[in-house]
Amino acid sequence: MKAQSGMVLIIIVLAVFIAVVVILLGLAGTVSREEFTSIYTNNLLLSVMRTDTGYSDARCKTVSDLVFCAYFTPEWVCDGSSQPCLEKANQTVKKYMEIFGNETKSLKYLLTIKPAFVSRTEEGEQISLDMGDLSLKKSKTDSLKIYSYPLVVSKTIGQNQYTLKIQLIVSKK
Amino acid sequence: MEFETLGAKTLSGRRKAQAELLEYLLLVVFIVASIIGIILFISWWNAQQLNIQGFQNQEDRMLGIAQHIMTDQAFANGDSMLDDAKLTSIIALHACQELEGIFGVGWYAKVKSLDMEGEIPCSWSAYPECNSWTICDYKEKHIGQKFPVNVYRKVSDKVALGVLEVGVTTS
Repeated sequence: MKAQSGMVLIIIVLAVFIAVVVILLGLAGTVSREEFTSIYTNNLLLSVMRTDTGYSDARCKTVSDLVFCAYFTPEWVCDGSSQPCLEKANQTVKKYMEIFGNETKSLKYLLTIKPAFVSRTEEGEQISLDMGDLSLKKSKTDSLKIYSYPLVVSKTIGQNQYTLKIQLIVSKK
Repeated sequence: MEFETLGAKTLSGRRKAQAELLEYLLLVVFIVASIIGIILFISWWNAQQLNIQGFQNQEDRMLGIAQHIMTDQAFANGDSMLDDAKLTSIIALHACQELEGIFGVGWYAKVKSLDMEGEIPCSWSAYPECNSWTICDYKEKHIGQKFPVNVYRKVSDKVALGVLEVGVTTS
């Protein structure tokens, strides 16, 4: 009886030991991948925002200009375009994400645009503009989502300076 | 009668002793097997750690080279966008050997601008109607990663979306 309980004890100790080792091995892999995904996501946001759209209109020259236009003047139609800014911004971001996805890996994305100042609806919710897959906002599987650092972009329109905080959330398809 | 009882008692005592001895023997065998198992496991764990460390070193090197290329004035302009004219100069001058003096040997970098269909390698004669630059093209076994970047098109003064692929050779 004594010997049997001794065996059981050894089996438990071995099982705990193996479990700890497996967890440590898993963690070692995750730390290395996190650095890469962080650089990847932040670079993706910055690169897409700085890319030229092909329009010469100052409100629509780069993707970040289009995003500004979509947030503050969504009905504005850029020179040479048939669609208003909001629609054009959605379409352009989608196009660039798809082009990039074809070259590397296809991702679900959500772009959240908020002003630097606090602006809320009557219900108390912060006014934000979302582009992309809205399911990422509600999704509870946070561990699979990667958040970029918020990109702060300022622009002078007329005599006023406006600042927006843009954040990208990506997840595997 | 007394003899028989005594004999039976001795027999059962012997059996008990034998059973206990067998249990202890089994325990000893199990402990020895466990110790051998643990030794084997620790050896495997050490080998795995060495592999992971090696892989992390290669990944760190890859990230280091990628970050250097994205920001260095030899490749990028002041806004950390890869400059197509600078990239073409590096290709035209066959500057791989000079760059190996900075990053070491056994690496490659490939930049592709996504503003054109297909892939047209850049050279002095093809510039600016080209969209791909490969620096230090290694054919050996390697691991690589792709990063989103911007490519500044000097002639048209436009910023394009691009992909920077950096790889290091594996032993």
